[in-house]
Amino acid sequence: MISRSTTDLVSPRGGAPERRRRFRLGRRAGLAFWVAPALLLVGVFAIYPVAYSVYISFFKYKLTDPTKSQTFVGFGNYLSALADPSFVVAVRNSLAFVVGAVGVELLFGLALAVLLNRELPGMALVRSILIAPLTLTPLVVALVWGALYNADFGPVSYYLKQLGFQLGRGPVGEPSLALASLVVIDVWQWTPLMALLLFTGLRSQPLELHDAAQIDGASNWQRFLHVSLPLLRPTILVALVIRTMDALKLFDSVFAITGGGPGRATEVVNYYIFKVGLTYFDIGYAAAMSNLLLIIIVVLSALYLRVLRTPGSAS
Amino acid sequence: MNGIRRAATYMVLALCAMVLSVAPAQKSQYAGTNLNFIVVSDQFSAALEALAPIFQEQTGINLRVTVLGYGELYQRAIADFIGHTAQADLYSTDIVWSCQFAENGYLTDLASLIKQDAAELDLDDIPTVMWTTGSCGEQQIAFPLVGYAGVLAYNKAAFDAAGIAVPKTVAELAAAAQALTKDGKAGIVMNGQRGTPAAQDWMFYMLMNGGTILGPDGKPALNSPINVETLELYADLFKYAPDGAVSYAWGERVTSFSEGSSMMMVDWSAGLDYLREGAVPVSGSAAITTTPVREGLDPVYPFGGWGVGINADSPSQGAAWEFIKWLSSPEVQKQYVELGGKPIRHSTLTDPDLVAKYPFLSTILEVVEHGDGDFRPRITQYSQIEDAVGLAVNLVVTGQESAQAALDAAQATVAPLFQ
Amino acid sequence: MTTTAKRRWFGNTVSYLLLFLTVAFFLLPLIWLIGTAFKPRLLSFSVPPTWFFQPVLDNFLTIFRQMPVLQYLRNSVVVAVGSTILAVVLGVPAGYGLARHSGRTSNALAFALLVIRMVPPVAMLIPFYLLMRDFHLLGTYWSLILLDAVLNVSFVAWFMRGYYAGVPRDMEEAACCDGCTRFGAFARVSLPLALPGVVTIALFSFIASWNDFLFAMLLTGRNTRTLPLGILESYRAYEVSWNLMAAVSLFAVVPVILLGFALQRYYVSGLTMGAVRE
Repeated sequence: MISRSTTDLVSPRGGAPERRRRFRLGRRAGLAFWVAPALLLVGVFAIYPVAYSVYISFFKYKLTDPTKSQTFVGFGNYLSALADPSFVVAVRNSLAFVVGAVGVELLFGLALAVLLNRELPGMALVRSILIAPLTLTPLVVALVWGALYNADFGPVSYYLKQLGFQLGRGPVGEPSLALASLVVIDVWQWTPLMALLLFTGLRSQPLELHDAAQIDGASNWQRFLHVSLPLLRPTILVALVIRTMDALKLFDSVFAITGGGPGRATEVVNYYIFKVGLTYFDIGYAAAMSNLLLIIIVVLSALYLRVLRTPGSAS
Repeated sequence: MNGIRRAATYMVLALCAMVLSVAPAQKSQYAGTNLNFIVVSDQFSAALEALAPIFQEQTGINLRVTVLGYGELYQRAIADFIGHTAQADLYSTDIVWSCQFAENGYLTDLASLIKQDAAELDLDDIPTVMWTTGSCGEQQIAFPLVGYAGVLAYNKAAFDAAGIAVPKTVAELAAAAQALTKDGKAGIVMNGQRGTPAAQDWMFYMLMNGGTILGPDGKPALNSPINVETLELYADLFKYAPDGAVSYAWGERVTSFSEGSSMMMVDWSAGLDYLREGAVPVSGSAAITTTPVREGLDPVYPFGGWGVGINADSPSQGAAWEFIKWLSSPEVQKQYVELGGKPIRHSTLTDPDLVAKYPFLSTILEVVEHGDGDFRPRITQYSQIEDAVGLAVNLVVTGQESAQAALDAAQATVAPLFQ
Repeated sequence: MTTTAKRRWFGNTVSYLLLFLTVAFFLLPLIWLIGTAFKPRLLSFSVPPTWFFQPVLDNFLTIFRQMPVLQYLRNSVVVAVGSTILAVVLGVPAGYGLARHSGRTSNALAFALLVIRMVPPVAMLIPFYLLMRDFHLLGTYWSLILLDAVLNVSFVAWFMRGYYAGVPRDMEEAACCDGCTRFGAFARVSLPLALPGVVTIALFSFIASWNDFLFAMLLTGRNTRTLPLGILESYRAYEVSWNLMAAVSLFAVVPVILLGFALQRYYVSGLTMGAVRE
């Protein structure tokens, strides 16, 4: 029982025909019964802020402007964003961050999941330890790593220097290293989640398929590539969507460690929006940029679904 | 004669004591009012927390002090003002917010109240520069709360060992930085981190070197020749700074000095923990003096600090003003300084007991007498200017751009804000 | 030793070596954090780093003097528990309904919920602040509980929809035939069946709410401030106090780690069940 593609969800199997018909009676009303309370909460408390942020994105509106004027500018804010070097760099950095962080997390997580799946003594303890990073407050994680990275007093810099690495101005001081150093922090915090997801995915795979492959004389590596990996596809998909969504919204480590520097090396979208929205209080512009970020997130998620969901995979 | 004078003195003292001991019994007309005071997390916030119960005891006004981080305070204050939610009656306000808050009418203009209570406030005792913590044109939207002096902190032991004098000019500063960079120690340390840290620190050096942010026309002149020169000098100093200084903010900078890793820095007189015996490794060999000045210029020193303003939406204006008057009275100021606050009065800065206990007060007094509270322009566009400068400085100190190119770009970013 | 035995022995050794390195990577920052919380101020910046020292409680005494840590802790618990309960109570049935009533409306709703989770938070914050003002909820626990719950409920519903798609409905239908109401079937059969999933998603909601500081910055009042704000407070502008920061952080970190350990047998299975079926 691994997964079903969405087509299965649209026409669920199981149950005798007449029973199913009865179950479908008043289907719409039934759906409303289950979802109405949640929708009410979301409707009352989320729709207004979201709608307001769409509305205000078409206005030039700075909260700290003494005239308090709202000037309609149409798509002006959106066009400004696309021409704003800081925003463009921020988008580029955010995408680079996502590729780096989520890519490493996936590969590292996969390797770790395979290791965990070897069922050696002591694995349960390792699994427990792995849980710790993903429960930590990201702000704390950022502050801790900021301290570890400190070029003059930080343990990471100290030991790397002892090992003969030339760090120059330190992991977060060198423009070429800074974004990668933030990727390491993200990898530290989120690889365990990836590994646990993939590990449970591997564990729930039917043994018969592996046995059959073994009888066919497939090597371990071949079995992993041709049996395990395709079966893992849906798990990987969800893991990627969740991680991409969050990695695009990177904030804490930039806020606590680099402030976007050195230069523009770690300027990322969410931090830039925060600066414009909650430091300059230029909320029309901030709203336009966050809507653009939302579009990027939705498009990327849709892209994943398309690329990774091949018809009839792993049923 | 002597005996009579002494007797008179005793009588005056006795009278004072009577007045003081009676005062607590006279509860304020605002007794029972609740005041919320939101204060930035800083050395002086602990002093305010400690004074709150005393104020309450004496006036019957309930004062509750909430301490917030800098960014949180600013965001919360703006949200409170634009939403008219009156979450707090009193706010500590950064000197650079003065005009932004004044133009928006977020805080009550205290000018007329100050005039009305001029005698009680003993205005002559408050140095002129202190008022910049809350003035904008004719308005005074905040009363001085703490005055900070920009000072040069130096490692006396290192200077003695090297046999060099403490720098008086910018050129001497650079020479000293070079001379003291040896044996794995850094000669000087600055803030290099992008944003406010780099911008504010660089502005110290800009002032020392005779530069300004705004031109004579009141519009930004970030890429003036003198500013370009200062930025080149500033970037040059990083050769004598610790490796990580390009990503340092105030805290890391002070730590580097406090640990004895760096021999000099220009710092606000806000913490000065390194002057306290046994607090940090450098305690005992650290000292402060006025910042160096470019050769041939009259001394001008960096001044900053915080004011305390009354939320215009607060229903308790009278009680809030009563608190401000209480806090700034000479007697309370003395207690305040002993608890970790920084003085706003001339008489406090020269108080013999305090000066004996905190010798550095004389340096602060000198800075206050020649202080410039406007080297960071206190205008509405300041936060954007600061951000542009912070980026430019960081780009230059990390070797990614030349000073001229970086400041040209910064100028281009902020110029449109002034059209 | 036979070749296979030799190979297995070699494989195991390599596995353990790799695992050791991995565990070290994930544990050392944590050990540094805990160690620094108990380090005297004078040692906290020493180079080379000090790993062995006489632990002291000074840092804890200092932060207890500086801020009401226990009140922050209580506030964090109230907000995280409140928003989690709200998100789970509303979100799990919604997810169940979306899974059982598949169709175009249902798919669109599920997607809309996911989009709510994707919205960058900054843009929502100011309008939400004004909304809370109009409801007179500013500075109360409710403002933070509601915002956290809104963002979490959509994720809960989306996750549980996937989870229930994998739970056979025959059992529920059987219960229905026995004359039990639709909700009764859900409460008696479907809910217990999905327990690992519910625990998993509840834990994730709890963590998300517990760790937030951006919302808390604007929405809390004097008496409702949460731990992450205390952490920011400990990190004053003019001094870096790794030791104090670490001491406050432990209050934010330790409870959730313990919770994670305590619930792990549920969510190690719950994770995939819900996740696999998007």
